[in-house]
Amino acid sequence: MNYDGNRVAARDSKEFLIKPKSKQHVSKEANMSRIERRSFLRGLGVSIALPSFASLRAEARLIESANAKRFVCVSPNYGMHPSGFFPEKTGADYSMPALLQPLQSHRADLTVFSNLDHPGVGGGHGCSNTLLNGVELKDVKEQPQRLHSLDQLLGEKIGRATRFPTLALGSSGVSWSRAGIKLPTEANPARVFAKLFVDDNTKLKQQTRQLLDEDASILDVVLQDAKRLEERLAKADRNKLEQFLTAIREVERKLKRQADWIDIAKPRANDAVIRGGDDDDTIVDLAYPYNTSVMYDLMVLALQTNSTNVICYGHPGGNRLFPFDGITLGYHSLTHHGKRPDLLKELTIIESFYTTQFSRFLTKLKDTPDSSGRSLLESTIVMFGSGMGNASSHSSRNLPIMVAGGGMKHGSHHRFERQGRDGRPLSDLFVTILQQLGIEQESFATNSSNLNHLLT
Amino acid sequence: MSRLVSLLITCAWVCSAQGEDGSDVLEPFLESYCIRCHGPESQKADRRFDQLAMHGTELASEDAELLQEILDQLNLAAMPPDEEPQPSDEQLKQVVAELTNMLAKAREDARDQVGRVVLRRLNRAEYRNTIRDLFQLNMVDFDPTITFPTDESTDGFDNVGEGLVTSDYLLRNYLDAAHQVADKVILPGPRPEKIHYQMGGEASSPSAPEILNGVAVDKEGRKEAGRLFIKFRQPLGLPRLDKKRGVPADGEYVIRLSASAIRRKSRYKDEDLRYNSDEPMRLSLSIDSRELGATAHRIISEYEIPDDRVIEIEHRVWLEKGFTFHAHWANGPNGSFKRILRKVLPKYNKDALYPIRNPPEMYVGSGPELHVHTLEIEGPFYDQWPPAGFARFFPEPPKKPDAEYLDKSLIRFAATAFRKPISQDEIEPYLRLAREYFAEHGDFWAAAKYGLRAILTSPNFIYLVEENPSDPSDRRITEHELASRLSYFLWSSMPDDELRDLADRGTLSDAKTLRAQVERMLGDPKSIAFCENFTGQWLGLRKLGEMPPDPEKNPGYYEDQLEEAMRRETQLFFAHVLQENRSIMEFVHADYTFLNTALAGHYSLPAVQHRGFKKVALPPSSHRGGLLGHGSILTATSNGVETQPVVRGVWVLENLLGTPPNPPPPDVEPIEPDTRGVATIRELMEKHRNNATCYECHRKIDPIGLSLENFDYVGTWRERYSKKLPIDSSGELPDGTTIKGPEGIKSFLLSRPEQFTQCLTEKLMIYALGRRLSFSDRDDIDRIVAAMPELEFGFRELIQQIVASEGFHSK
Repeated sequence: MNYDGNRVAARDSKEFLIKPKSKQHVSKEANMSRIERRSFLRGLGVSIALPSFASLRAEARLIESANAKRFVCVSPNYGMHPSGFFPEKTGADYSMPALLQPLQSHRADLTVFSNLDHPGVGGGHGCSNTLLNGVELKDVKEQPQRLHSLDQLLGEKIGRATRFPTLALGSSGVSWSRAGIKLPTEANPARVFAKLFVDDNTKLKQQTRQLLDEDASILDVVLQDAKRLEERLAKADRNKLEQFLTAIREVERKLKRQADWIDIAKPRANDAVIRGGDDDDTIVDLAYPYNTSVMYDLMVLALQTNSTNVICYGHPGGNRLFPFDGITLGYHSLTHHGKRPDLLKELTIIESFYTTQFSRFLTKLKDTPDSSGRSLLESTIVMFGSGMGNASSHSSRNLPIMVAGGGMKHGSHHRFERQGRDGRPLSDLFVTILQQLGIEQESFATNSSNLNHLLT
Repeated sequence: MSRLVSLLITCAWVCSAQGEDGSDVLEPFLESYCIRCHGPESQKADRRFDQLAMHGTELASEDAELLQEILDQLNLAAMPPDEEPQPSDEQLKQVVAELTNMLAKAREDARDQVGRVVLRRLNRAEYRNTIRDLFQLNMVDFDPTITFPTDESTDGFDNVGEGLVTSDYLLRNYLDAAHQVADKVILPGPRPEKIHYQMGGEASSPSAPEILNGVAVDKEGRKEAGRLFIKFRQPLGLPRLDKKRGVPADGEYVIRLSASAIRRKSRYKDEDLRYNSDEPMRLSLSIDSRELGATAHRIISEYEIPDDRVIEIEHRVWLEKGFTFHAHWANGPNGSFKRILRKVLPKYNKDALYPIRNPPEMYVGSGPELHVHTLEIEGPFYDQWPPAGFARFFPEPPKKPDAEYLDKSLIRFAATAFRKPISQDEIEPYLRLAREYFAEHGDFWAAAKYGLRAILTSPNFIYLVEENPSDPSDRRITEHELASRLSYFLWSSMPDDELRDLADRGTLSDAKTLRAQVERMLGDPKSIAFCENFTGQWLGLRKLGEMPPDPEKNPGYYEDQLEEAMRRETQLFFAHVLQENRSIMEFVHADYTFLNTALAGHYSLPAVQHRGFKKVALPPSSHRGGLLGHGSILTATSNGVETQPVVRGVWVLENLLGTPPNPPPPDVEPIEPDTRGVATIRELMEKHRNNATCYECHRKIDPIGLSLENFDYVGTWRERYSKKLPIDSSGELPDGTTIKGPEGIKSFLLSRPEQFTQCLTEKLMIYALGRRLSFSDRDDIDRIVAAMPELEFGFRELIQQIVASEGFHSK
């Protein structure tokens, strides 16, 4: 993973661009159309070439017209302590409570919501996983497709022209496939880096291609076998086998897609992002929670290189002891603080860490241009939120939600009315997000309408 | 049974009382004693009885589940609550009789619709074991399932068909795993050449200096020091092996070495060397893989090395291709050799400061050293070649194998892999795939691998298929399906040749044969899978280690490897009760357990005069007998920082009493507790409990959890909390029984053997059947529970009862 010939350190790369194959530097004044075609990028030392196959270009054009092109969701498993998160005042001149303080510099690009939640979702640990689909597994056993989450839907819509339709990072939970299966995530930054930026050698590519062909033929045979078997099963078993048939079709699609991408070189990026530098201040720690900033850097790179348009990043729950000054109890224990000030103080340290890192991420997005020259933040809808409201009571009500960027109208805190148990459906926000991304859809999950009037 | 999630199937049900006398008893009873809390006004525990359709001919199975719950609650005298009006004994008797009748009838009618096994795929452990047994592979360091996603758990077990999903992600893993397996098992070539590498002794070569990596030691120094020595914690290996990227082929290898301990006590102080000179030197052997890195590193044995005397060591071990081995000084000085040379040596020898001197040489010959005189490896050795797993499906391959041999071999393979006889048209697509490949590329063995990969991806391999019988009223499973049920229950793997043979002959289901087979299977080492997977889930041992204690505050927990020791204690205890057919009530209380020295010390019991684990008699005052005294369970129900009485209480209710509390009702928003100013966990919990919503369940949970407070978060006994606050382990159960300490819960359980028996029976049934239980399984369970006292509660007998039950033989 050492690209010495092409090593453009993050810190001194501002002045030139890299061209992937010829390793020849091209100046800013180079022919514009060439630049557009190649989509050279500055910043952390990356360069990309967009795929040339026609189908992808057509799709790329489709989303070209939308206001925003990308979606990122960051989600802490145990929500955020409400009094540290929700501002008192609504409107533009609200003051930011403790947990939002690190985001002060972004307030013009940020909207904070109170009283958004998913109607019908109960409390308990399960609610964290409902953030992007608004339903609980136990309630839709008969219609698992209702578990399909926003990010996965977006992957189908705006993710088809990229190598990875969606990226699921950190701890798993919020991403659910169309078949209603909770999707795995990658939490190891080194593996994320390799997946995004390390090309296989020619021999390996050849092997991979052969393997993909063989697997596709195996699946043809297996599909025949499964269909034959289906006729011999009882009804409940047939429903179960349907899952297998769906998986076959999905894998076939993905094998095809992978084959399409084999010959397209991956974008290059300096591996300093995961390797760190030699000086003390550039050392990187790949263990959670310290790797949070590395993950955010990788996310910026992934968006910047058009490797993906949709990313979910989860902060795990569990009872780990955070290695921060002042922390004496496990995370989960702290969320059940029982309003004790000493415990709340500790919880605030952890949750401020989340918002500080998030703020740093927004800064990077703002400072990094995308392939059309806009800032990444301008073209990316970034949502921060959790399916759990107040962790102290395992509540699924009044979820901590904020949204930034994506060319939307920001700067305010909006509070909705509660109707009995429920606030405003969070899916109303999702419909607005979908539309902002160029997907003309009026409904999603349990929405009642949308929030266009506030955000667009 | 109280929390069975009902199936959405309705069943025909004729009220046994024809809507006359039956509901005349039941409805007024519900009206008087139940509806106020479980009716239109209020639905405590999310239960509502006013809408039960007891008239007419249709009874939804969810209503039947509710009626079963009502019956269970009445039988346990858990409802109505004490503070509410109580029915008379006569009323109770009538209602219980009535409910029992109604449910018996409903079960009879529903038998065809509910309580069916849903097409169940192999879970990760089952897949791995099946591959192991299919090809008779050594799977210690070969795991094609390493990237499989974690299997979902349903009703506490990860082998329940309803909950096991097959995602496209998993399917891709199946494709990859099949590929790895095919490469591993298709071995048509000649027996791999043997290697024999050695160092030291007579065979020492001039290239010897390479072996001392790090700081060089010159010839004189080495002569002085013996030929090789392990420098502190630096591993010593054979450079030829390390350079050649490990052993050339999978197989059994013999590692031989001779070693002696020199100057265990020297002029260097222990604290300078960071070393304990009072204990004998120990040498450990590890196997490693450069490719797989730290995940593959595994210590395979450890030896005490005598002072000034050469000891010969020989160890046989299976090594995967590319693996290597190293010798370590397990208790040698800590830190690097460089540190000793730079920081320690000058304290004892001022000359070491002069660069012209050679510090390594100064140290060598003066400090403690673990000398390895010879080191060698030889292998691979095989019992037979080609290996059994290959010869089984490709017997005596001809020089030029043809398409016919390909067909035959793949048919042989599929019939075993699918665990049933196969038909020609079922296998034909697989044969065609391989045949076409063979025709096109002309490479027979590549074609064989290809066919094998496809068969390993077939739903007939991945799922435990039980076909729909041609006669829908016949729900008995076939002989081959029975063989699979048995083997996945007791071995978490596929049937072996003997089971398959009996199934082929159609005699496995014969009661006597079946009984003998269960005995045989429990005696087979493969039954360890049952001990591990069942205890891992029933007792939650898999959770052990999820929230480990803070290493800084609990160094001993890590030094003594207590987590592994605790797990081992429980597994050995469980296996003992099983193998010796002891009473299952010993899970509640026993006067013995299994300990090693470290765990005995952790429990403040006398040291075990034995290496490893030993069965130990417990003194009456030890608080330890039975599962509730096991460190594993006490630690797994804590969070690594403090005890969690609620978790412990729920654990006991769920796993020993079989009456799990309901989760908080979804439509009631939990109140955020305000616990400022409380000192002990008991006060904290009382604050919760004072809330009416919480009280309903916590009055059952909390007293049990608090009675275990004398066990801290790693399961050691304590009399006081850290700030000298006294521990109050007394409490009152909902039925009025007062309990104190773990002994209190134990005697409560011991006085209700049928309740614990039912709980364990239900857990075993779920695990054995791979499905959720339904109210229609109640007959089986009741029959088994009733039979157990006569069988002296023997655990093996319980397994036999389950295997003999109707549910085990029905689809």
